[in-house]
Amino acid sequence: MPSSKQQMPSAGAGSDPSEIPNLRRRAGELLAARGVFGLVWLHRDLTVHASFGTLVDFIAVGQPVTQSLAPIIGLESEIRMLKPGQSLRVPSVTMVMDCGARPRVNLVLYAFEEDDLRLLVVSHAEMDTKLAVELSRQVRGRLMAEAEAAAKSQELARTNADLKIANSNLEQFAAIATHDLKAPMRALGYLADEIESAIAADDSDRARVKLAELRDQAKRVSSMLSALLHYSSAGRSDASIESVDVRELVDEIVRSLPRGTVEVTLQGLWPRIDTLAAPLALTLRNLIDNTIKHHDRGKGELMITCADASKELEITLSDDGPGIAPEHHASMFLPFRTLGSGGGGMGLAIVQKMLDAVGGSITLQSDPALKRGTTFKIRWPKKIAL
Amino acid sequence: MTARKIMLLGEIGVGKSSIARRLVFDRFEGDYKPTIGVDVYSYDVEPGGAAAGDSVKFVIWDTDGNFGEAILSHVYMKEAAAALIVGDVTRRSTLQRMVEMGNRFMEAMPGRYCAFLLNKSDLDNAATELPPELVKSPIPMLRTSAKTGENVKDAFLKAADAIRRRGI
Repeated sequence: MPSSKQQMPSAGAGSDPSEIPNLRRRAGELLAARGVFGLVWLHRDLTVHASFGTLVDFIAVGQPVTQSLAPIIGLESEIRMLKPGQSLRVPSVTMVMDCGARPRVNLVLYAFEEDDLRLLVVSHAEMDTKLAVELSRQVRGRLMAEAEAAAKSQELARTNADLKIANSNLEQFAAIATHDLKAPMRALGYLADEIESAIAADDSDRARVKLAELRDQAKRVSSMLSALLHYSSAGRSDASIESVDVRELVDEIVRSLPRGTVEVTLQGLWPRIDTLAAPLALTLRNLIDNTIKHHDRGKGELMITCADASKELEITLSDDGPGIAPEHHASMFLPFRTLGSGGGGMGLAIVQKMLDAVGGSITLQSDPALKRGTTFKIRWPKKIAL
Repeated sequence: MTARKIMLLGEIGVGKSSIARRLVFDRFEGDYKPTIGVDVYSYDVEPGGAAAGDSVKFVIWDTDGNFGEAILSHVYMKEAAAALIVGDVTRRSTLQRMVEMGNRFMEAMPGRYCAFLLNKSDLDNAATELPPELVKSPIPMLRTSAKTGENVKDAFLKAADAIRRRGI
């Protein structure tokens, strides 16, 4: 075997020509490290796919590598067992050449995976540290590129998911705008006609009444648009993860709301969690406010319980209010849905939207035909991926 | 062409390297240069003749006599197809050690071809009486002379033929 010299890599005869440029480029990179005899790309069965450097004269393409390179004959099982990145030191031998040269061959084999091929790098043993560093650098570079590509792909997937949610919200928003706002807008048109008719009939009293009604409708439309704007912006805040004492948060919400005669009791274990504080506050505020607002008796009770359910926080709100008939359960979480006892019908819709945004859930239990009261149970994930 | 690994074993100074050089380069060098470690030679055995069948490449591992029997457990021996164990016919002790090495080789690598080469047969003081353990040994033997080339090529052809027949 000739002594190690810097050589232009050349492919062994018989290699697939279409693959050579890429392999040649890689070989050139690796052979740039001093002391490398050559490189061999192997198929899984250890037959030679292509060879470069000084090994070309010794290694025949299509033949098992362990048949070609004298010092490694008999090391087939060891080479097979080499995992990518591992190396094998071959016992030192002297090659006695026809020309009288007697190069001492002290080889180290390095195995690497390249697509479906195995790359075997043969180097001088005394150069192994330098080569290992060089190869590690290249492997690390490749791994970093792969990790970067994976992160970009993950980011793209997340953007796509966000886009899907945004599209869904847009569709919902359009449906609400066309359906729920249509009625008051129709009413406005109807009242304008009535006023015109009253003026034509010189009935100023009726015109005044209809004008007052028109103002009320205009206010209602304005209020609905404000609520819709609030709903559309909910969940789009630049929320950040904060450490939240959930019991303290609930206490603060309860204190800030006009409770009337509803007595609020807290039970259970209330942990401190790292979460999106603002969305959690908005969710709890809307649920508590909804219960207090819709209570129909002089004196009422709201029990809020917290339980630690492994990866989630389970918060249950049970009241003794009028309850919600099962046929309304599904629609209660849609915008502008209310049972007519006050409110704009956006509270539970915002709760649902918040929970959707963080990957939580809500259930509703109530049947006034059997028993008074409503129980809302929310599951809030303890860990939220931003 | 398939490659087969042939080991040249034996005591120091029995002429292993001379045999290898005679076979591969067809020359003999009188000055003695001890082998350090392992020298590897390559030799293509053409088909036909004693080694009928496909051509085969012999990769001849000429070992350092200092290894002694320890060579048999060395990684150098891995996947060896045959061993030619060389003794100096002018030194009786090397012939006795050759027999011991042959027996150990057959135990360590059963089924592999093994032959004794009684080298330096050209010398005047070549022993005429062989040690009884060598005479009784089932391992085939051949008188060789690296200097004259006597039986050198033939020894390897016999090995090639045996390897082919045994499918090693």
